[in-house]
Amino acid sequence: MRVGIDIEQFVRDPYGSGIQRVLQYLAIAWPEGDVEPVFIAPLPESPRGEFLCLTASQAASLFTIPFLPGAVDSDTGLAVERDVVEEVRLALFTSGAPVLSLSQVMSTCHIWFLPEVTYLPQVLARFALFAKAMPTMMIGYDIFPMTAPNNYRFKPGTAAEVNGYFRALVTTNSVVCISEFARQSIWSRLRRDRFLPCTVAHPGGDHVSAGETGLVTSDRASRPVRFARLGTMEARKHPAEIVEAFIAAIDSGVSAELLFIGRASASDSAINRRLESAIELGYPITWVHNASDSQVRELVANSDVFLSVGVEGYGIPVLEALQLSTPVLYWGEQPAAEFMEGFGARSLEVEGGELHGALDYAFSHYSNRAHLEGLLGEISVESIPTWAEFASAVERAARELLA
Amino acid sequence: MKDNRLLVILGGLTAIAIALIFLVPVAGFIAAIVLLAIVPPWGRGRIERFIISSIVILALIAVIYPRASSMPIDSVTARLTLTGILLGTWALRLIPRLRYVPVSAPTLVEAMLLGLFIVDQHVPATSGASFISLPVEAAKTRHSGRLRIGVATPWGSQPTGVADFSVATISALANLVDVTVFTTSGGMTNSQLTGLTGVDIDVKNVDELLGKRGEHSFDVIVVVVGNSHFHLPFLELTTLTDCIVIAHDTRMVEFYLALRDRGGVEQVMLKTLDPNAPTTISPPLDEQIDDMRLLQNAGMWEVARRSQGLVLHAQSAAQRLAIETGVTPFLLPFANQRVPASSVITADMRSEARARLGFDSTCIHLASFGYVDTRTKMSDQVIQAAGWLSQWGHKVSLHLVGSASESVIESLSAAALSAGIHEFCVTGFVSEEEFRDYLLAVDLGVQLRISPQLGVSGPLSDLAAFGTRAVASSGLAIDVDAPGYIHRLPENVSALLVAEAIETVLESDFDSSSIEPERIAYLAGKQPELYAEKLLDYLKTIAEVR
Repeated sequence: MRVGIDIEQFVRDPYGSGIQRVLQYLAIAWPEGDVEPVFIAPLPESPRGEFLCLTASQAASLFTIPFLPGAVDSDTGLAVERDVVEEVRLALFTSGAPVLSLSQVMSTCHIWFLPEVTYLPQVLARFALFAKAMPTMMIGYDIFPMTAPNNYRFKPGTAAEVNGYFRALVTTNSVVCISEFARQSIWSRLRRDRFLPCTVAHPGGDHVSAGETGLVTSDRASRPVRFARLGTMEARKHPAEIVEAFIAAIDSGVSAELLFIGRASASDSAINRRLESAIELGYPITWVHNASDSQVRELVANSDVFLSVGVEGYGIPVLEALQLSTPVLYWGEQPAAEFMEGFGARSLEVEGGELHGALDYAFSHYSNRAHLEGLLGEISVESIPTWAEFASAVERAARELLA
Repeated sequence: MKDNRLLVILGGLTAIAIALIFLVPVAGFIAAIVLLAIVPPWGRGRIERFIISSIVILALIAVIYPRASSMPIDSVTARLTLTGILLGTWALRLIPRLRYVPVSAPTLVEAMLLGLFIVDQHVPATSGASFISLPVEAAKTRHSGRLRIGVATPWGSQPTGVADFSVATISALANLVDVTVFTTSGGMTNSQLTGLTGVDIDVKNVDELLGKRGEHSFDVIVVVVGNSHFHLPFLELTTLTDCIVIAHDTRMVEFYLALRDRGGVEQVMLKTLDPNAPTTISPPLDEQIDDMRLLQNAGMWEVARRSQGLVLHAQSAAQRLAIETGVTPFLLPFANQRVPASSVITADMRSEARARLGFDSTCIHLASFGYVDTRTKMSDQVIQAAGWLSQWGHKVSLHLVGSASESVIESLSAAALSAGIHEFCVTGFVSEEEFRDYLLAVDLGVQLRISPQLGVSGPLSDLAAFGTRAVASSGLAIDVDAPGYIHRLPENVSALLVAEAIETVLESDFDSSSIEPERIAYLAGKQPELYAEKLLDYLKTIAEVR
């Protein structure tokens, strides 16, 4: 049995997101057996619209590209700007994968699988076409663009594609959701028929080696407690509120550092300005914009607390932090952190209540290293979901679809 | 005169001219022209001296008032500039080598030329002088003692909501004052709405005013301005005469883009008094035009700064325009432009309208009214909302009641088909009766805007007036002061949220007779007559100043 996995979205926009981490480990950890994944990418510049059919190992190499560290200029010491799209294109050309027409792809696959969020019309049209010929399945991430649209700014005129993707989540034969929260959203808000297959499989955190202690610098214990927050400056993740609470804590005499890792907000420049102005005012806040995968790990490993605030569809960075022995404080809808509650993750909602009170509590209480000890002791790497479990669950869903 | 007496005399004349500029502007301006042909130390004769002076002045103005400058050109800055030029030209004679450049007596021909110029400035339009020969509105006598107001606006049967609004409100104004409407040829034909007002208004072609370079004898000229091609001659009028501007739209960027191309609109957009505004166009203009949420400037600088007063209906945009232009708009609550024919709306009237339109009684009938536009009015989101409802098992018939281009109709029809909507149509521009039938017949209206800064929605006001429930972007609802049966949506909305809101509204217990008191109160508060009274109060303040 062959599962055709459409990866055009990745090829067009390989930006190394959490979702693309899922792709990467689907390819790396897909279990051996009679359900064979075939990763289908459009052949670049093909005049006849042909497709490359990559094996799992070929796809794994491809999906790893955006996560690789960039080259560093030996003169300046700065990272050389990468053209990841071009790197992926070249990798496709040199992959040696067989080239098939769309009809050949259709005739050789038994299931069509859309693993990534996509609004590309050609991908959605292909999905609709394959849905007429064979069972289809998708991974169900969050549905925030539909339920919390103020965090997104879709170009006017793209409503058909954006809604088309989410409607496909309702009609596809099987959905593997990354969290119970995602499944409930798809059931209750999109109103997917509850009798249709819709399972939950948690993405793993074991792409980061447990306790990569070599990353940790020696001054960690001697400096103020460093709180790290990772992710794009989206309003749903409350970066501005974190800054406000941190400023208030510092003004009241708390000794701590705050590290923001993530890209600027594309939809709300006020958030970016708020952060920049706090830095200009001299508060101990650092903002790292374009960190590579390895830099992120180093920064998180050298932080004392990982803050995860707001609404997440899942939250792979929480698992990464715990793998790196950095305890997690969370507030809001945080499926991965909730899953790790008691194993190194602690809810600020329980401890501090509403967002403002919770953040006040986090900065004042956990800036004392003694208070961190108990949390550190709770970290249980063994409890972190693995990619093998995730890929097996996806494979199982495919198998059940054909049963 | 090879001594300092010449310098002193010229200095004295310059001082007198400057005084006149501030005290008797016309005389001061003429004196300045004469002096610019006498005082400067350049040129061999007066004509040559005057020509060189003109070139120097133009160059100075280009430096002081570049097109993107935020420095306003008004009566104060114009006077100060002329004063500076006069002082500058006189000051050149303080340079020893230039002090004794001779000044000769004027010739008869020059005196006659100046005389002609003065006549041109001062002879009233009624004089019949050969160079002011157009028919004369100004000759109209002030027989009634009432204010005489000229209103330049889209009118009559022109396919724009602005024409409908003007017909409703300006007709009401005509009951209070003498009104002459100036419109374009397309507006000279009466619409059905015009007939309903029962007011006979003198309607003329705006060319009459433009041909006279804006000269008129009205107490006040009102120009109705919007962001479409209908408004081109009216906007030109604002450059020719003092006027009150009623701004229907709260942005003019597409208008200037069509009129002046990219460079022109960018220059207008960079004119601002907002200290926090970017000094370059960022993000690129195309992105801003494609997505109005990114608009860095509304492009209202010229409209606002040229007006004697700026009237606005959209309170959502008022603050932004005030910050950008320095002109605080006079906010006039939007009036209802389409009063139902009957004082009571009954279920039978709705059934009859449905029958006339051939509605399938097994469907939920949704409609979005007005020009169909995905970019600003989110027509594609309306379709997707209907798509979600269809996916949830509702049998939906969606009507986009308004005109659209063929390509838009084609793409939206394809999207509706793909979204599984049972029935979908774009009606095109419909007659007044058919429009009213739709207002009565539909189960729910859906009026969206991508940004609260993009102006008011006449159709939303119509829906409220007809007691037809609707869901609408909250900015639109605020701007028309919509009653409680108009459900307010968040500004940032997805099709899913719209669909959920539609479903909630439709599934709520609703007896149309229960909202009648609220509807009647809304209509009473939004009567064009009230609008006209408030507008008149404002116009009187301007007329008094005049």
